[in-house]
Amino acid sequence: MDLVIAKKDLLRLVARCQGVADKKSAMPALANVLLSAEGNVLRVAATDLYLAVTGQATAEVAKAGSVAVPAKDLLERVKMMPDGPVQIVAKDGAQTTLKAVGSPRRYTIHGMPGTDFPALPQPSPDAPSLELPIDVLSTLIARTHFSISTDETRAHVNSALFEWAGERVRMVTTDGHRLSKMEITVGGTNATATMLIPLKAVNELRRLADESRAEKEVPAVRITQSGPNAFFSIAGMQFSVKLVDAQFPPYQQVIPSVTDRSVRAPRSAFSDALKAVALAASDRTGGVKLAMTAGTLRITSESPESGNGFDEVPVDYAGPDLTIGFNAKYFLDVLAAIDDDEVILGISGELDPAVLRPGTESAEQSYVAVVMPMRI
Amino acid sequence: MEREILHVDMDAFFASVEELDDPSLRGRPVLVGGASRRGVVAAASYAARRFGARSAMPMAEAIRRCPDAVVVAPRRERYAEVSAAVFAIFRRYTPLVEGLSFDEAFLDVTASRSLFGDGTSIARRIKAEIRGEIGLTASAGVAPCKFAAKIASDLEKPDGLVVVEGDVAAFLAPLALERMWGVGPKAAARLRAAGFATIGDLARADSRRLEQLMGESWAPHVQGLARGLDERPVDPDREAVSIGAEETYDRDVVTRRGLELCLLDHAGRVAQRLVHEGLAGDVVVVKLKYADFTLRTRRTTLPDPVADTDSIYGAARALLSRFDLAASRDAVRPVRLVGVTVAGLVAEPAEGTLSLFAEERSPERGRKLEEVVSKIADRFGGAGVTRAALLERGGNPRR
Repeated sequence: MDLVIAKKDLLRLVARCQGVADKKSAMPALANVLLSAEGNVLRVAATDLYLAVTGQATAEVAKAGSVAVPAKDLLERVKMMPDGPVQIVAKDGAQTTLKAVGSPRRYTIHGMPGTDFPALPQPSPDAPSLELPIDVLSTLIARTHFSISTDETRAHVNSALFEWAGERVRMVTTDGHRLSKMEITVGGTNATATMLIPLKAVNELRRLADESRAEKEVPAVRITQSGPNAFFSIAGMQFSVKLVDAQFPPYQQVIPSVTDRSVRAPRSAFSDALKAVALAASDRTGGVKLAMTAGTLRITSESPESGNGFDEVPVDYAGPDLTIGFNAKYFLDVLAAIDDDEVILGISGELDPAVLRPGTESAEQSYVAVVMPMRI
Repeated sequence: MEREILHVDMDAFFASVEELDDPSLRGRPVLVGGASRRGVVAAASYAARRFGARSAMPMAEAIRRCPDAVVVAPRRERYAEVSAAVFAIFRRYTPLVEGLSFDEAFLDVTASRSLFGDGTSIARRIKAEIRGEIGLTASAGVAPCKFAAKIASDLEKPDGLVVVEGDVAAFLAPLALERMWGVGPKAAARLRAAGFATIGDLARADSRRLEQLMGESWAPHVQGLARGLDERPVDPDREAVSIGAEETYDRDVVTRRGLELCLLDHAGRVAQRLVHEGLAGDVVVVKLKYADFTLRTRRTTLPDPVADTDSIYGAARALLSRFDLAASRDAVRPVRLVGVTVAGLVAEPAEGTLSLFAEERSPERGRKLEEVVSKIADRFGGAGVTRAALLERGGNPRR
């Protein structure tokens, strides 16, 4: 393999791939990125056998070929290259030289033949494929990702449920104590899909979507479901993930359709007060008490170790007094994910699920978060 | 006021308990450990040590050195019982008891002297009571700091009593530097090669030279100790940092299913101990020793502390995928030792947020199950109830 490529293109590709490369795997090959040159492009890929990411950029290819080199080492060395063209030469399929064109600076890296790198999954040509505006994907993830369970041993909730029915796309996540659901109508589409996307892939998608939005690149993501994998094409990068093969919990059943009382609160004031009081809450439970009386929401925390905290927020509420305990973090995550001026908190009893919704609803977008209380 | 710290260490504890309970063993070389030829020595009696047998040595090696040794399988419950009696004696003299393990502890007796006399007489009384009431011997060190007390208790084992009076640095100076805390075999070899031999040499060394040899962060600490500077208090609240179970198997485990059953068995034992101690932990560690003796560990952190078999087993099983097991599709690289440890221990978790999904298998419910299992075992003895999956392995899975 022998090629010349602009440093900035190479850096962008390697930086995006090295996040997926698995430095701790029992399979040493997975700590590498695969470089393959063909025609007039350099393709860079990485996988941990669950996720795979591939990107390509134009290069002057003098000799086609492929090599796998340690991801972290390559990234560090590419960063050190002066701006401008960089030459990559792989000999005997493994020994790889990285050289700045017009500068004496160069590195040699010990790689392995590209053929030793695991084959990346490919969608079958007839697999159904959908297109989603990147803003929609970003919003779905931003409003739900925080309630994905971080428990890797429970794959069915260590993932986000992505559903597409007709014109409506939806993402739902839960960790068993709380749940978030975001739905958006995408006019002019008609599709059916259901997939469980693992947490690590959701984080990676979020990064790719945010980056491509920042660079104002292609405004759509193409999603292809094929066999056990889903493929996402965003801004010149192809990202594939092995979907979770499990049953997501029956989420519709736990979202209360109505609640006995409803409190309309200013979002940022509510969030500030919660943050302030949570500071004094017990580290272990993060528990705060919300006491609602006509016109006022009082927030208190009591902890044998860290003392007490108190604040109150003027709210729109006219029902009977009620006090209920929550993990403040669960509320703060939701309040940070939405941007409306007001939120509506729906509550029935002290042991019933609470519902948080944005102050304004539209036909195009619907968001709901459900949070279970703590016993107090 | 100068502190007075005792370090009391039972002599060949497990082996001595076995001799206590079976008088026919007394004076004979006794090895406590996995009763198979592949186990490891947990304790060796002094008679066995004369032949070169040591704890942590492979059992086969110990038997080779001491062919007449009697090998006894460990009885942890019994040791825990005797240990509790020993610690009860310690607490007669001070509430400031910091247990380091079943058989050794630091005691701060500074404030007890007006009641019981000086540290030396308290050490004598403790040794006499352990001998009189339990029938075992202990060695004790008395010093103004923990480090010196610990070294002192080891100097005249068994049944020793060494008192460090006055100048700690002078007491330490002639001792071999291998006795230092924080100086492992590799560091010791490096220091020897650089011309150091005693703790006194370390105390006098140029601090920059020591930093070159031992690292910038560690050297000042070690030199401080060598100079007798050790202000660490005796901490009675120090708790076990982890709870684990492991076993070296008579025959290598060669299937994934076999490994999973070992993990399930250990997860159950760890869960029982956690529930028994009122603890839970959020770090699960799996340890495998392959037939070629390479040791590998993998760990994961759970979102919340757990103390039930299912949660621990679930995490341990998931960790298996991060080991290089592959020999073939079903067969795995032969494994001789499997261990499961739970760390990040906290007192029983406070009741947290309620569950959204009532039918979900939850750690809270798992914990209640463990409590029931524990009660059944207490009441009926033996294994009590066990998991059906473990029955297929035959024998008693909860030895």
